[in-house]
Amino acid sequence: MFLQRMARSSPKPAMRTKHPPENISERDLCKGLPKSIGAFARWASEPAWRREGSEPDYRFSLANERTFLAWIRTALAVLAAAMLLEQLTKIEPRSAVVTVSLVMCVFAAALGMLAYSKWQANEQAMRHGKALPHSRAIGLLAVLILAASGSLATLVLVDLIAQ
Amino acid sequence: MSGVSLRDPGLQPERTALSWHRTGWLILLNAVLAVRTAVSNDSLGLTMMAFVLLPASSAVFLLGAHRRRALLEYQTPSCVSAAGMLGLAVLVFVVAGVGFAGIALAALRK
Repeated sequence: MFLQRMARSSPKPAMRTKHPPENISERDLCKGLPKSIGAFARWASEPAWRREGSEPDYRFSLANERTFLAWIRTALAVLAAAMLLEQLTKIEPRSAVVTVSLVMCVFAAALGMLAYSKWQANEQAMRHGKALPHSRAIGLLAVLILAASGSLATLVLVDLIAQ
Repeated sequence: MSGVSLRDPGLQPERTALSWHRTGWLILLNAVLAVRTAVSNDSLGLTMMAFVLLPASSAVFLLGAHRRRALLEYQTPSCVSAAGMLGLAVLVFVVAGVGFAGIALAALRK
């Protein structure tokens, strides 16, 4: 009897959904936060554009996710190279080496944000069935890496000649 | 997507989970480099960076494990949360900024 009443009064277990974005986080995660922070968390976890259009094939979404991660890793690799350059090289003049590593840090920061904006643009295009947006990012990446390696090669050469 | 028990021949969930894993390793590499640079430069900024990066790498590993579970559990794999993506991008931005400040300050002091 008691158990029956328990069974009747206890709420149904929540259904596990395949696509959490609409269902999780919004109320549960934001509860108890100040209003503005809650609104920010809602906006960040589930921006409005993710409800527009139709859900793309999951393989394309996952490919886009991996592309984002590859850009993030590129940024992290550039950052690691900047720190290694500053730490482990003994090339003179020192100021030139520091300048190159500082430029690489700025570049890494830009790549990090670029990763997100590209992911978002691709996701939006896929949701609306449009062509993926063109971007000059890869060309820019190549030019900057060429510039960094070219200036480093020059520095090493100048250093060698000076010795 | 009619295959109910079919395994994805493109191994999309595995590739995505491994991609998260690799990202975690690269963050860990940056954390180790930041520790080394902070010790040799005696730089507070880079010490802070290491303290941000070490938990961040474990967070990305955990996120990768969570993604792996979420992707393999459902026939229609779940979407990634935009907050995780934005958080990772902001993390890289902030860490690169701190790295910039650390290297610049160390150069100015010499």
